[in-house]
Amino acid sequence: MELTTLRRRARRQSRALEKSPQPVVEIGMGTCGRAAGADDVLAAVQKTLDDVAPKGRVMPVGCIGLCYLEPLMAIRRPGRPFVYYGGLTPERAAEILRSSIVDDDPRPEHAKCTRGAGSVPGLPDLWDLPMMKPQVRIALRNCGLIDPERIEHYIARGGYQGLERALRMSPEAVIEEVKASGLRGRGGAGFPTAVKWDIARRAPGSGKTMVCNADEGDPGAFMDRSLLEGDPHAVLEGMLIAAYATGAERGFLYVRAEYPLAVRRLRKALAEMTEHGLLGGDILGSGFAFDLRIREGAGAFVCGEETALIASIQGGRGTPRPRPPYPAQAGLRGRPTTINNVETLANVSAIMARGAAWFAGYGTEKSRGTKTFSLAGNVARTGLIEVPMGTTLGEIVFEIGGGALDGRGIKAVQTGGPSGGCIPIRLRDLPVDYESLAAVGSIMGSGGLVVMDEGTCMVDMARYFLTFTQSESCGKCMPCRLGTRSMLETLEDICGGRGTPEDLIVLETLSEAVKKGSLCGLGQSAPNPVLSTLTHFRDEYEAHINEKHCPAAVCKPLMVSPCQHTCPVGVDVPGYVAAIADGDYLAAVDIIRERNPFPAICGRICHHPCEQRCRRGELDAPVSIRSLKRFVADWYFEQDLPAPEPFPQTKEERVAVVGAGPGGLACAYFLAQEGFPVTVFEALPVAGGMLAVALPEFRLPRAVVEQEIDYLVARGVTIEYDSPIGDDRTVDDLLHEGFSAVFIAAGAARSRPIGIPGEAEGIEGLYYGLPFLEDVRLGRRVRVGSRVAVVGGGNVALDSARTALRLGADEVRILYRRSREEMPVTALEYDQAREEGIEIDFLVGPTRIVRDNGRVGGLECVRMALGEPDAGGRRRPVPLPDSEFPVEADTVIATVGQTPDIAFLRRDGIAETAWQTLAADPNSLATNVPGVFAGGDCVTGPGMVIDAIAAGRRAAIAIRKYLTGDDSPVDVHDRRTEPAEPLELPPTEGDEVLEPRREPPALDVSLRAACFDEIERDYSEAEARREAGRCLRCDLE
Amino acid sequence: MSGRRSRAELVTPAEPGTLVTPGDPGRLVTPVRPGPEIRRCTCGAAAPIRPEESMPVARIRDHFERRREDLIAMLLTIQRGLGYLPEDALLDVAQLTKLPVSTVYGVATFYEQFRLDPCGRHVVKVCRGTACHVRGGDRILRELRTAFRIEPGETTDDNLFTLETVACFGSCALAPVVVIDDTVMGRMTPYRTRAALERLDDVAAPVVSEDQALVT
Repeated sequence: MELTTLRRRARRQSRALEKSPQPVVEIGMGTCGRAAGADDVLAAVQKTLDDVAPKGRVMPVGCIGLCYLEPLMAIRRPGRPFVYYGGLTPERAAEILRSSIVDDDPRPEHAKCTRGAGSVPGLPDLWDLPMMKPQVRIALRNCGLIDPERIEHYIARGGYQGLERALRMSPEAVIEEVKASGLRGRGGAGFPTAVKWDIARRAPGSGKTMVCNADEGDPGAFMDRSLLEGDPHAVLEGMLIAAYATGAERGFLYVRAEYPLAVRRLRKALAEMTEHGLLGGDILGSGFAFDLRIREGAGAFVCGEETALIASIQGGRGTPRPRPPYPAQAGLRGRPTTINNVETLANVSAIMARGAAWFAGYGTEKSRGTKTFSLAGNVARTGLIEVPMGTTLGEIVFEIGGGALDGRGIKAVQTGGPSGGCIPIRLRDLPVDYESLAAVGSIMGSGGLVVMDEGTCMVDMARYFLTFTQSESCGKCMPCRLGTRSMLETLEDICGGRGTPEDLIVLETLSEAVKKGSLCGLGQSAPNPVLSTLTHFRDEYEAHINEKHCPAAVCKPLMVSPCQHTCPVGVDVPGYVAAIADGDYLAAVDIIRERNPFPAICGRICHHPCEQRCRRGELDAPVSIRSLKRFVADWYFEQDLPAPEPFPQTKEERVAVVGAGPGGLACAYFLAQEGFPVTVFEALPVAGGMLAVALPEFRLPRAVVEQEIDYLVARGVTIEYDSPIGDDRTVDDLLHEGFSAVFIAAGAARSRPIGIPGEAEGIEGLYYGLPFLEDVRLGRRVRVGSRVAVVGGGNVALDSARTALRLGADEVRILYRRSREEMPVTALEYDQAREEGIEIDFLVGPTRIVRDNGRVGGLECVRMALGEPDAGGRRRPVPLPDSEFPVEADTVIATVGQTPDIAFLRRDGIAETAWQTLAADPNSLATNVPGVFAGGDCVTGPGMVIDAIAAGRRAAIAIRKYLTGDDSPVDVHDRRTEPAEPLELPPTEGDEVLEPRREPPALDVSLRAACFDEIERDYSEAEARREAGRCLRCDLE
Repeated sequence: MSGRRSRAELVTPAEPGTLVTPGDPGRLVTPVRPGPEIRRCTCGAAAPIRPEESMPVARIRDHFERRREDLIAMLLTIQRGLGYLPEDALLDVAQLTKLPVSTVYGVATFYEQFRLDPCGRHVVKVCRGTACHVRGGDRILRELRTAFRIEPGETTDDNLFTLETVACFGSCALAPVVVIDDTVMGRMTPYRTRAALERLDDVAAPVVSEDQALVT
């Protein structure tokens, strides 16, 4: 049949389909859809359609790219738009279909969006979805919208117009057109397509060949598969155009055997083309002849390399050969051969149909057009996307992808698969084009884009990619064969805890050698994942090597369980949780105290990073580890147990600790446990530091702090109150008084000023967070007005706001210059504050405090936007012009941060950093003065309680080593506490009913504003044991 | 037949071991250890090839032009028919294409797809793609290794399961992915994988015995 006749018929059919009085059901039947269960949905839909009237018809379509919603179905009733439903089960699909067709109820509560003329109230249009809106679909123009097995569908949407136009032009003119479009190869390297074609066209010789490289071997990429499955003719048309332009007589489609559906659809498409005169001796009567065959690859990554691919098509082992001669000069069977990638060819057919200028209108100057990406990994919305070149990484990950999955922070984006690199997310404003990606050590690649979050270890990623390239190295050239192997062994050593600092140099040297010496792209690019992670995530390598610590809690040989490994002090969490489940509470407390002497305090206020990594969280919700610790600690203190014995003093050397905060006390406790006599010098009349004076009663009652400190004292820790170290008694004096070592844990207790006009001393109604909280905590008289504005966004801000509310303020408003994402507070604290009625205004910065007769009369503020990330990766807020506005307030509490106050140490000559913190060795916490160690907030700046305890424990180990003449580095390995009893079988995901996470009881919100009573309560014993039973015991894996 | 046997001996591969101390200048010494032989089927099902099983080999005789270029396609066809590439089939292909047996063996061992041993009744493939790795595919593989007590590439003693890994199935948006026989399954967990195996008709539940119930 003539193409014109065919086109007329296709358009007629398409119109008939649009106007059809029958309902139409589209189901995404790509491999992804099927993997998610589309086959069962299709069967259920067909069965339902048999039962209902009016009769409907099913149209299988390719992938529209909303893969995270698969299985996906769209229903159109006559005269209405398509309505999309996602995440279907067969039952749900049948139910929706029935009510849509029979009851005329499209069930918008289950729907995601609509497509086509008309609308359904409350549903957005498909192209307005956040995932679709930034996209421009050129290569994917038909994917998910047509039945890929019917050539009429392709033709009805303008298919083969590009070929018709090309055949009317000279081959040279076709090459010119492609040149004008600026199209570059989409397989990864970005070589200009027109240049490649031109070389092949000019190459002397007959039997020229055209090859489409559909051997999508990059793990993490599926664009080519989706395209071949969803719109094969777009690629085949492009191939015909390329063949015509280069003068090729025959062609091969080299497709992975792992893509059976794509192969099937291509075969179908080739049969249709032959039937309609689009293949064979005289294509469309133009005299152009082309023969096209499918060659299935058999699984070898190296066949992505041109010369290896040719060897494979010729039936041999897919090994590359040196170039020149280039395939364009001498390729398949020695004839000039052009090799183009699937996506490149799909773009060619669009360019020839719509013109070079249209295509060149998208993208950047050097990278024209669009690029498809398979968006996968730890991102909320995974799928197949196509964006204009130059779109930023941030737009792809956060706008299209919807940001992180399960609230974990996104860490990096990997592009280019095993040949590419890991790009840290702080480069979120990087435009995605060939040159920009290369500049940061990655490559465009074919379009795999895998998002990685805090749960991904970057060293493990490098190891993973090298495992792949090492096993895929064909073995022909030595640098690649042996180099990848050596690199892999080194990485395995690092991940296995056997790494040495020299390994990093070895890796860099090997990387250079493999890059320079390898014969083909596989070897030349294999070091990229290593080099990019070494550049951007060197700290993770160093943690693995120096501290035997995997920050993401991934590398199994370094840890027992993720929760324990994430805990800064390394408490054997599964051990004590199991003991609680067993009812052995005393054992549980003992296990906690091996690493943390403050179970009751941490059971209340720890920010529990352990729960973030809890394996159970991947199933439903993490085990409530913090509340279990609290339960068992409270149980301990309620028992009428005999007073604990002091640890026996077995050592002579006396140790002094400066500051009785959690860090200092923890250090004293662990030293006492080792048998050292320890004295803690505290400037205040109370011990506990911030815990005692700044934490509000409703979060941490004083009685709880006192209980824990009494326990420490009973174990032999001496505390001298009202004993400031400073001008009258220096650290040096302590050393002269007979202390052999001193640990400085002075904290960070000085409030920083906001630094805005009007913030003069003495203005009534202006408070600073810490003194404000301290006054309230210690029972001093504090008055707040009726409208309180709290400036800041951390723990102190929330605590101050909630305290002000309890002091009788009518309205409390927090003004924070960043967004919720950047707020360093736990979800529980945030939610409780909101429940209590605290207002939080994000992206607001105060510019002036308004004075009214010596009192606070309000604030002037400005709106902010998040700009470029700072060195720490947090985006810096920048004021928006002309956005000033007043905030009414009669009380302002400034909580913009705290700094250490280390002036008292000046006389001792202890080195400081540029940030007014003490300088201490990260491993041993030793300062520049022999025998003097420092840790906690006075070294790191304000941190979390558990980090201070970790510093105290590290200091205790370091001081013991120092005093016993052991100069080996401090290592704090995770250790398993041996279980006393054989353990019961842990629950598995398969248990019929999953025990849900239950939060402990809390004080009713209506009662909170009136009193300082503690909000959270303990689990009952039964509740605690049930919650503890939720632990999956992944430590036993 | 006997001629074939003797030719089969020739294809026994060898792998160089670690390089040992250099001998005289210009002479490196390395021990050679025998590599995996082209083993015959151990279950007895395919050795010698039964008439119906030689069908795919017969089919390639008619279907292909017997050119070197068709080698990979011929091997794929045989494997799709038999589930693996028996020794005799490799020898037949060598004869048909007039290629040295070593070349045929070289191709059959170069590509991931080809298998020289018969597989179990069910082939379980775990995707090792990047997205699957990031989303916990490793834990599924670990569970299956423990449950089957075999390593990837091996078959259980009862001949029920063959465990394999694949570089990437290209269903990354639904990671982690497991393929059981030819069914691609997305968003898998260790438990869902086990449950899917137990749903197979001929598998007596449970796949994992009580004493080794595994953690997700």
